[in-house]
Amino acid sequence: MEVLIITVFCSLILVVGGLLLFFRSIRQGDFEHGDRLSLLPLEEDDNSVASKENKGSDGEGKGFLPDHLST
Amino acid sequence: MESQSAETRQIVYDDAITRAFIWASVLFGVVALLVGVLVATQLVFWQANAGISWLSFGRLRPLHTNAAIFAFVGNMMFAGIYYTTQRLLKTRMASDMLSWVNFWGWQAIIVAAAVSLPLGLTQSKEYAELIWPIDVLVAIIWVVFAVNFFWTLAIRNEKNLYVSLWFYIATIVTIPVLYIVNNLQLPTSFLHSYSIYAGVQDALVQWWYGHNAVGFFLTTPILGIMYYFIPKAAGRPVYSYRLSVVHFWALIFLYIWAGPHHLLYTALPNWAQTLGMLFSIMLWAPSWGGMLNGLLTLRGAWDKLRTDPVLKFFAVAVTFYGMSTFEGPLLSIKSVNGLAHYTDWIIAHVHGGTLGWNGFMAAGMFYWLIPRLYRTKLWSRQWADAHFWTSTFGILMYIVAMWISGINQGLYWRALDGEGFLLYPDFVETLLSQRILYHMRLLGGVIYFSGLIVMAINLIMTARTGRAVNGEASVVALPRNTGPGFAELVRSKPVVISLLIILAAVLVGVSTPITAPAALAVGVLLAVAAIIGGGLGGGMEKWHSLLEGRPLTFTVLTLVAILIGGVAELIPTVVLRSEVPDVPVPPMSASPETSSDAVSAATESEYKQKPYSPLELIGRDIYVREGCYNCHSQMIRPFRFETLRYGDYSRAESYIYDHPFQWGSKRTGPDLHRLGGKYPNLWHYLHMRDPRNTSPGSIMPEYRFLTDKKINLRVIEPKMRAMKKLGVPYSDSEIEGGVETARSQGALIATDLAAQDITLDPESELAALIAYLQRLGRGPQPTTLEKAQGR
Ligand code: HEC
Repeated sequence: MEVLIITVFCSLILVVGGLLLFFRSIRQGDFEHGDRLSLLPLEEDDNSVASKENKGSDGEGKGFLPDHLST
Repeated sequence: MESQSAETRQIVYDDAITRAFIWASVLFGVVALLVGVLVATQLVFWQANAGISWLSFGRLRPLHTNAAIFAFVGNMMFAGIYYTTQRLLKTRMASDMLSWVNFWGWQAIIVAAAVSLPLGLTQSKEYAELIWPIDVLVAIIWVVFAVNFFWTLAIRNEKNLYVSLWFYIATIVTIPVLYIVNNLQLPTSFLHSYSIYAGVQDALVQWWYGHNAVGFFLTTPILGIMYYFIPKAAGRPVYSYRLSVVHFWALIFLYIWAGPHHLLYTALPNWAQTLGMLFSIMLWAPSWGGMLNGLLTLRGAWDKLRTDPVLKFFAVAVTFYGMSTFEGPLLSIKSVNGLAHYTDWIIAHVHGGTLGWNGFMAAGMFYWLIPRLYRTKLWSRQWADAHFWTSTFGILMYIVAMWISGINQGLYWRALDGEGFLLYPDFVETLLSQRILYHMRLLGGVIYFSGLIVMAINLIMTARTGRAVNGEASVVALPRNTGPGFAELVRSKPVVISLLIILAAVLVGVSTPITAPAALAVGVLLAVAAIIGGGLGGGMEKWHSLLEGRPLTFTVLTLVAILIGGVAELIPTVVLRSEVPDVPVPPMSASPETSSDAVSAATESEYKQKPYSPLELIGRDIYVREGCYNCHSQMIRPFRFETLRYGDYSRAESYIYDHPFQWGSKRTGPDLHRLGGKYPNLWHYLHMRDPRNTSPGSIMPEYRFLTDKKINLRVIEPKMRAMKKLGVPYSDSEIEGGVETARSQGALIATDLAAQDITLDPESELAALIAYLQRLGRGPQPTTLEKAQGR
């Protein structure tokens, strides 16, 4: 069962690494910026079609406006 | 990449790399599923391998799993990571060159796998089958990817890391640790090697890896992708950012401990099994937190599900994530596992994860990305809808068929009659009862596959109506501390010296008592040099300032250092301990009641585990090459219904010379651990050439080609030497006489068959395989005529 030592050792190091990164993340204030961070994926590229024409998520159609409001 | 002012910059993202990975994923997705359809066909029509060795089930199933995981999902994962990382960090990837090395290197690995696996070049550890030169390539390419990623992190223009990036970091750090530890092996030639672990140890590392490959390759990166693309497609932020953060940290703290749930009721120590079960059940909570978070992000956007193909795919994908992560903990409960392990239920589970969760995430992401990456609109929504409905129907059909079949198998195998004996002692009975379900599975697979083809056409047509465009953004540059650059950092004294110290530590770990002091001395010298050099070169402050401001890089580097050093120190204990082999192994007995206690001291020595004879060793390698472990287990669990069917339950000691272990994870055919002596050589000869001859209704492939293929006698010596290095007690004279012993043992089998009017070349692969099969679960068999007559 000696191999348990290896796997437990590696697992522990990974978990300890996770802990370190967790505290780093706290110090950096990642969690205080949750509201701002959660908006990050919504930013469009400057040159994307969607950012200009409000396309639907498959690039087609009228995007998020209800049908009767979009042309 | 010009800067207009010191503050804002115009950035052009590298989207060509995303496009490349998407097309690779689509291509290999088609290949992976095509192979899947072929192997599913072979389980209904055994003739479907056309009698060609490299099309036989045992060789193609690893190709199917590897292609689905590493080629289809792997390329999709890279596409998603490259696209989202650049946008979330507001910078182009640090090095285009490294991105492309990553791309072409990964495709080279896939092609190498696609050639080597059908050729039977394999390590036989599930999802780690690739032979060692390809493993080395995997490690190198992963490092390239990691360097590029962390370098990009270092030059980012967004201080805080969005949750997706945390998921990617976990993947990038964990995968190489698992991969390398599980793939430690001793090469015997350029194409062949033996795992340095044996038996139970090998099984444990393998499933530690196997489970976490699911966790950190098929789950975490895809969750990162989910947390980016679902909000994007729904046009609203994630339901709860806080929950996503809890999801992440809980998942990575828990996942790594759950591996032993693959080995419940095996020869693994009980406490390890219980630990694995407990952590698996705990995993349920964060997983469902994540699933609900994904689904609730669609809150208020549900109406769009009717019209928007992207959201449809995402919604189903997340639902499958929820289903799989409920099923997983359920299957980890020991009593459920006792029924489900080795059956088709597990096949249902993994397909729900891979085709349902990963496959639908991939489709949604592709349908979202391709129109944008080619500045156009989707070629056909109807086709996307058609894909959605066919694939959803197909996967459900597949899973339902496998659920029923799995539970059916479990119940058939354990059914006892009124007197407590097996109700269905003939294995083929179960096979016949589930035939219709195997047809249904095939049909479901074909339907899902056709959906994928529809997607491929739709994506290609979409790309053709547009042109490739790279995204641009103007970003506010983050003030950077003017420390040394990445290249400077890598070449700096502290890093170089630390690396050398690690190297010395590794040498100490792997060296013999003679070289160890030398390596130690080198280490001490280096340490002294480091202190002096550090002192002369501006003192410890310089050391510190080098790494300051890079806590992430620093943490990762330190972890890597500790891991390499630690593993190198620990490896020798694993290999050397298996040199203590003299553990009595009780004799095989037909009736389990009379087994272990009956071993008297006098007979004990007879049953000490002994190494395989040279011919058996070669036969075992053929067993590995043909992938028999894909259908046969070699691990009898301590249940009455198992010991009645297969003989005394398996014990850890009997595997100490099994490099690599052959426990298997699926019983499409019966367990073989105590097969030796169950049938005469003639039976095996007939069965291997035509399984239907001895077992009407069997779905096992024919292995006629083994009769004509000769074994390569020259590999015997290097193979035995390698085994000796790994702790198998072969004496030098045994190794030198290896070829002779193999010949005479082959001749014994051939003579036995000749007495029954069958001619078999004593040096044929079939003779070697029969020698191995007859050895399973018993002590040494006669290798010469004298010994045979002496018995
Ligand atoms: C497609 C799955 C499959 C593969 C691959 C496969 N087998 Fe089988 N095997 C079966 C099935 C099903 C049975 C039960 C029916 C029968 O006896 O043929 C079986 C039965 C056997 C038996 C008889 C066991 C007993 O106790 O009656 C032996 C021995 C055997 N297989 C050896 C092998 C070897 C060696 C290989 C690799 C060269 C192999 N099998 C590959 C499916 C498979």
